[in-house]
Amino acid sequence: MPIKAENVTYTYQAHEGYARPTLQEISFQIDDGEIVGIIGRAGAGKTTLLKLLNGLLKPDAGKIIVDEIESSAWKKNIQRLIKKVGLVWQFPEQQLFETSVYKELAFGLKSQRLDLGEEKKRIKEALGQVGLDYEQFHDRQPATLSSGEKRRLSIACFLALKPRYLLLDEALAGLDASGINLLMELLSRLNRQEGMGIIITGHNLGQLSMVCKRVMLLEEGKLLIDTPTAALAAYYRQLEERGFTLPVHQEVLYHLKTRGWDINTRVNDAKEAVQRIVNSL
Amino acid sequence: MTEYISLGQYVPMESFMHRLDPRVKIVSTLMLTIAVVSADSLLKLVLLITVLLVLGALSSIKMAEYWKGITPFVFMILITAIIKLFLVNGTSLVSVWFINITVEGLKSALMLSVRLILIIYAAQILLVTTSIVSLTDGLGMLLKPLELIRFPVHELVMIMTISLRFIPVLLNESQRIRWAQISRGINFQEGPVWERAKTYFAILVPLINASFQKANDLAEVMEARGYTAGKKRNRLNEFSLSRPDYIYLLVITIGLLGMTLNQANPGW
Repeated sequence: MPIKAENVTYTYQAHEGYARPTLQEISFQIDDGEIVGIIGRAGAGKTTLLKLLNGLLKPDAGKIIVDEIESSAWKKNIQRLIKKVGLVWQFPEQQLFETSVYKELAFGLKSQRLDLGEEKKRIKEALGQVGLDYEQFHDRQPATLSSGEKRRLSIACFLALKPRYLLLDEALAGLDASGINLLMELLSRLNRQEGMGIIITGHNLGQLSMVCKRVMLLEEGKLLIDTPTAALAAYYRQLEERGFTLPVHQEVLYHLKTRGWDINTRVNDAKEAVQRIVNSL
Repeated sequence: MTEYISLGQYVPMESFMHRLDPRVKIVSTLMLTIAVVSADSLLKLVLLITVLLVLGALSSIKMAEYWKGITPFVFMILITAIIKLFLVNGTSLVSVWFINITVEGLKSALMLSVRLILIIYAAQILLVTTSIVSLTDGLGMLLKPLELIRFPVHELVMIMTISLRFIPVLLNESQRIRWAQISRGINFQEGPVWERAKTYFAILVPLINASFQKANDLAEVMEARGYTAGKKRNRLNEFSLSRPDYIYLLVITIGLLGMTLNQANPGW
């Protein structure tokens, strides 16, 4: 079932006279198994939107529907909602606190009252999904892991809950190039193999376009752009004015077009762009 | 984005109270607190309530906002009042089994509750109308004479500034960690008490880690910017008393002195 947002408005401390809305009348639908990137400058409302989709906040106006659970019933369904939608926060490794990798993963599962066999199975699976070997890592102290391993462990904590949607808030922050590639591969695999819907926020269109098939641009709480990633070049000016650059392959095609080439700028990746250039020579 | 505003956090606005010199506000708050504690009649308390309501109105901040700052203390005030209610001897008002409520106990509990609310309210007026930097600068200037006896005024003020500045930061951080842990399935609301208590480690441990990290970062940044403890420093903004400051201080001082010297009949 999709995630639907209809005219969602949210204001922090709405009761204060001087507060202004963080999100204003946002509407969209994200279908099952979609991978969506959300970009926007700091303070645009990206994190707030993820908190609303995860049920941590409730819209002041409008409604959100996640798997038929409406935002008006968030409170009594919060545990159900959290099982469906996992929200990975920025620097999630800072939330690790247990004395072993196994306990860290098991802590979140406690509320699901699983038997020990099922608990162990889920933990093994989640560690495998993020590329950490169970035998090698289950009794390690989280504090002794490398920063990349910690990030993967914290994502595994969410995967163990088997969510239908995974929301990631600035998940690429602080990762080196290989860390970013590993994470993107993981997200792509989760989407392909498990059919998991993924929403990821960030600032770098080049990185997001590695996995996202659709991109949304938020500005001052409003949804300015909602487009397939392949068609981003159509919004070149709007993106440039806000400090965002197109993925390199699309930018090359855009500049060729502005120099008079008769070329379609709608492409998914670099290979397709090269083929398009070769064909038009 | 500030997601969690702490009690009494500064609200930047343009009002008479906001414009007053912080030293004047600190001294007047102290005098008002002493007056509230020493008020021995209902009339004096009513007068103090009036004065504080006027000061609240002069701050341009709604009474409802102040009330929100008082409500977290209601439980503490109630407990203190209940203890007072049952422990004061005198003329019996209600007596059931071993419980004996006296007229004096009731008066005493009510007076104490009003006093506590007024003290919190007075402190709130000071805190919401004075930025932390102005507050600590003002305090530093008031305490300056203590430097003559080698009291580390500057260090004390710096510690206070940093502590106060970090309260909202840590409250925001704890809220962020709490939300993050809820998102990964940790349930803070259900289960037996000891199990719920254990779940709070999921907030405490990362919060302590984050606090040490922030303290370390701040120390490094301060050193990188040339801060040396104990070294004489000048101020970016020098305070100077203006006519409204003198008038305000004079009115408050005369009013409170008059009240203290008034030998009206104590009690109701």
